[in-house]
Amino acid sequence: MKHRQLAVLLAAVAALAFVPNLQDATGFPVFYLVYAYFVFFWIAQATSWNILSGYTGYFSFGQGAFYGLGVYAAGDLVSREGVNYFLTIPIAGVLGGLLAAGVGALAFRLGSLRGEIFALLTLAVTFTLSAIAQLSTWVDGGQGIPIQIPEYPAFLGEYQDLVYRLGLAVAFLAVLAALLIESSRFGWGLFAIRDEEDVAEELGVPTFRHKMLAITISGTLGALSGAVAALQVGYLTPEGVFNLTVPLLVIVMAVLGGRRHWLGPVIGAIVIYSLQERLTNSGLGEWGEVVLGGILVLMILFAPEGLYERIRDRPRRAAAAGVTLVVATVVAGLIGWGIATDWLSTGLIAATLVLLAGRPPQRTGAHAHRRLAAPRAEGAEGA
Amino acid sequence: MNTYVQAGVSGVMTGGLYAVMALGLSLTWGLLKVINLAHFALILGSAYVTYQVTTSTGADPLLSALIVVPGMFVVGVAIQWVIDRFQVDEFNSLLLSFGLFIIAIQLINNIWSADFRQIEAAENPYATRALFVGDIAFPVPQLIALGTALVLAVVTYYVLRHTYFGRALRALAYDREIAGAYGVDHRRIGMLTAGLAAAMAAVAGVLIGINQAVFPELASEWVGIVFTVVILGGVGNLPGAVAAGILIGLVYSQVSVAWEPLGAPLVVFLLLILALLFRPSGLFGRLGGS
Amino acid sequence: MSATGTPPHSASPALLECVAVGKRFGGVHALDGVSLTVAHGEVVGLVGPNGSGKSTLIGILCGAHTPTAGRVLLDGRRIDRLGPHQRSHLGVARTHQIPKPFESMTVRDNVAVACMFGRVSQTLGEARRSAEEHLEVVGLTAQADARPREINLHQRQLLELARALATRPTLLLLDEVLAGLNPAEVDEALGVLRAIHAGGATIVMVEHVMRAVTGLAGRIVVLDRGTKLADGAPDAVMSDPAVARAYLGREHGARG
Repeated sequence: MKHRQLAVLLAAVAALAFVPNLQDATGFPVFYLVYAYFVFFWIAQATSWNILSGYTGYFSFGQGAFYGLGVYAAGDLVSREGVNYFLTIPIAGVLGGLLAAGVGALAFRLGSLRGEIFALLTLAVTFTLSAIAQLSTWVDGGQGIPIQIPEYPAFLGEYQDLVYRLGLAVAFLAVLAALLIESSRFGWGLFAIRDEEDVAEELGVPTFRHKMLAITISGTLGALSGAVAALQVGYLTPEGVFNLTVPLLVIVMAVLGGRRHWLGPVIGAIVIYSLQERLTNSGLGEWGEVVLGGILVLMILFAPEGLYERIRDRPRRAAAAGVTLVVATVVAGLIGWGIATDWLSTGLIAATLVLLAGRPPQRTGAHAHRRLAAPRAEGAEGA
Repeated sequence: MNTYVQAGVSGVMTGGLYAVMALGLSLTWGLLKVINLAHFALILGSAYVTYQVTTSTGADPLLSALIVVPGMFVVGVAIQWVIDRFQVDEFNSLLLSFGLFIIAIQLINNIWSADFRQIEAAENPYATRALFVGDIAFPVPQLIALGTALVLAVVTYYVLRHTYFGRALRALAYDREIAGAYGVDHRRIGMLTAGLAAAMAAVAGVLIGINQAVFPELASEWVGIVFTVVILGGVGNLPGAVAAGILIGLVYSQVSVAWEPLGAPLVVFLLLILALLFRPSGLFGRLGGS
Repeated sequence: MSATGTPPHSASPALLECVAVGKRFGGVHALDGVSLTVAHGEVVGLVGPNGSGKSTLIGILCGAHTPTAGRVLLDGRRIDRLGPHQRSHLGVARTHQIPKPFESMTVRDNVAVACMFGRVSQTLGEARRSAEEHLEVVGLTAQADARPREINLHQRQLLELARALATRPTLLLLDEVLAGLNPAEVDEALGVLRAIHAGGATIVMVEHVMRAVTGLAGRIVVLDRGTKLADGAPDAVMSDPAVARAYLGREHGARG
C-alpha cells in the first residue's frame, strides 16, 4: 500500500517536473506555470499545517508565522545581505524549525489547557513576529522590502521554470513527509495523541517528543515553502505575510480535503486555490473570505471528515464526481468560459458538490478529535 | 513625569475596555470550554451598529445598547444551539468560530468599507467630556467602560456563586455527566451562558463605539491583548479578568510612552509567556468548581 | 512477561515497593504515608470507600500523578519521577474505569498502538500481527475491524484490557475493569483475568465487585481517607472490625 502510493507520487512528481520543457516546446502561456506554482505552494503549506494540526489534533493559527519567517529570511538575506539565494532556503528551513520548536517547548510543557493555550500562542507568535518586523530596521522597519530577482545558474532555465520546479520540490518534500509519517510508528503515535493524549502517554508513546518533532517538521516545511515564495513576492511587508489569510486558507484546504490522510490537504489545496482564482476572475474577490469562511463552517457542520474519505468510502459517488469533473471542464471549455484554469475550476467545483451531496455512508467514529478541554481537576477522587 | 501619570490613568481606563471585551470570552472558555473567536466579531459588529444607529438617528449612542444587547444575545444562543445540534467537538468548535469570525469581518468590510468610522463629536455627548483631577484628565467614555467592567464582573461573580444557574453552570464545567445525573440541562444552561457572553460582547461594542474609531482590522488587533487578559486573569475568573485588563492597560500605556507604541504588544506577549511558564492558571487562579 | 518467571524463594525482591507515599491536592491529603509491597506474580486487591485514595494511588503508580512525599520502586529502581511513557517501557500498564479508546482507529489498531510503543517496541506490521494475539486472549477477535463506538461497554472494557496487555507489562494496574458489567460478563472477565495471571502477570486491582476481589486476589489492601487501614489475606482483612466499620459499613449500605 505504502510502496504503491510512494511509486505513484514519485511518478507524478517526475512527470510534473518535465512540464516546463513542454512549455518550451509547445509555447503554452507561462501563466499556467505560475498558476501551477501557486497550487504547489498551497499544497506545501496545507500539508505542513496538517502534519501538525491534523495529525496531532493541536490546532494552530501560526502557519503565517512559519511562512512569513521563511519569506523574510530569504528576502532579507538576498536583498540586504547579498547571500546566495539557494543558501537562504535551508537557512529559512532551520529558522522555521527553531521557531516551531520554541513554540512547542513552551506550550507542550503545560499540563492543563495545553490545547487551547497552544492555539492562542500560535496566534500571538504571528502578531509578535509582525511587530518585531515593523520595529526592527534589520528585518524590515515598517518600510517593506523590495525583493530582487536573485542570480542563478543558467542551466536552471527560465526564471518561471525555476520557481515552478522549486515550488514542486518543496510540495513534494511536504507530501512525502506526510505520507511517510502516516505509515510509520511515529505517525501512529501522533494519531494516538490526537485521539486520547493521556492514554497514548500511558501506553508508552513519548508524547512530548512526538509533538515536538511534529511541530518542528511542520515549521520547517512552512518556512521552506516561504523561502521559495519569496521569489514570487515582489514587495514584502509585515502585514502582507504575518496575517490570518495564510492560516485561514490552509485550514479551509485541510478541512475540505480531509485531515486524516496525506492526500486530504492536496485535494483541498487544488480545489480551494482554483475556487479562489475563479472568484477573483469573476470580480467577486471581496466575497472571497466570506466564501472561504462559509465553506469552513458548512464543512465542519455537515462533512467534518472531508472529501478524501468520501472518495475512498464511496467508490460509485467518486466515479460520478470524476465524470462530473471531466464533463463540466469540457463543457466550460466548449462554452469558452474564461481560460483553461477557469474551465478546470468549474469542473473541480462541480465534482466537489457531487461528492458533498447527501450524507456520508457512516459517521461512526469518523471524527473524534483530541479534546481541547483540560483534564478533569486532578484531585477528583481526593475531593 | 506628568506624561507618565496621564498615560497611567488612560492605561487603566483602556484596561477597563479590555476587561469588558474579555469577560464574555472568559465565561465561555472557562465554563463551556469553547474558545469563541466569533466573540471579537460580535464586539466589532456591535460597535458598527452603534456607530450606524447614532449617525443615522442622532440618538444617544448608549441607547444602541437597547438594540445590540438583545440582538447579540439571540446570536450567541443561536451559535451555541448549532454547536449542540451538530455535536461539534471542541477542536471543531474553534474552527467553526474562526469561520464565523472571518465571514463577519469581511461582511463588515464590505458594508462599511475598510475606512475608519467614528461617531461625530456632535452626536456623541460623551466624546469630549472629561473629569479633571489637577492636570490629569479622566475621559468620560473610558470611565463608563471601566465602571461597566466592574459592575458586570461583580454581578456575574455573584450570579455564579449564589444562584441556581451559577451553581448548575459550575457543576457542568466540572463534570458534565455527573451534573446531568443531578438534573442539570446542559443544553439550556449552555445556550443561556453563550447568550450572556454575546450580550457582554454587545456591551463592549457599544463602549468601543463611544470611545474610538472603528475599522475591520481592529478585531484582529484585539485578539492577542484580550486573550492575554483572559489567561492572566485566570480562565473563567471574571474579577480576575478585570484586574488583568487594568494591569495590561497600564503596561501597554507605559511601554507606549516610555519606548514605542509598537513595542507594547511585544511586552504584553512577553508577560503572557512568563505567566504561562510560572503561573499557568493565571495571576489570580481559575474560578474552578470547588 | 518473562520477568515474572523468578524462582519462588521468599527472598525474591519485590516487584513493586511504595514507601510512605503521600499526595496532596492543594490542602487535601489524598494519600498520606502509604507503604505497600507487591511480590512478583502476586494479585493484590485494592479496596476502600469512595475518596479513600485508590485511584490516586493507581495514578501515582502509572505516572499520571507525582507523589508529594515518599518513593515508588519497580524492581528496585526508583520510578516516581519518571513520566508515564517511561514507566510503560519499564513494564507498568493500566486500564481506565471509563474506557478511553482511540476513537478514530479500529479495535485492532487500538491494540497495535500499544504493541508498537510498549515495553517491547514493534513496527506497524509486527504490531498488527501481535494485536491479533492479544485480542484473542480477551475474546475480541470478531470485533477487530470495528470502531470502538460500535462495540458495547463490556467489549470496550475488554479492549482497554487488551491494550494494557499489549504493552507486555510486568505490573498490570486494573482500575475497576468489572464496573457496570452484568453477572455473566463478570464471570467471563474473571476468566480472562485468571488466564492473564496464569501467564505470569503481577496484578494490582481496584475493584468494588467483592466476589472478584476475593476470588482472584491473594492479598487485600484497604485504604481509608488516604491511609492504609489493613493489608493481608482476604479472610483476615474482611473480618477485621476496623475494615468493617470503615469500608463495609458505608459501602455495603450504599451499594447493596
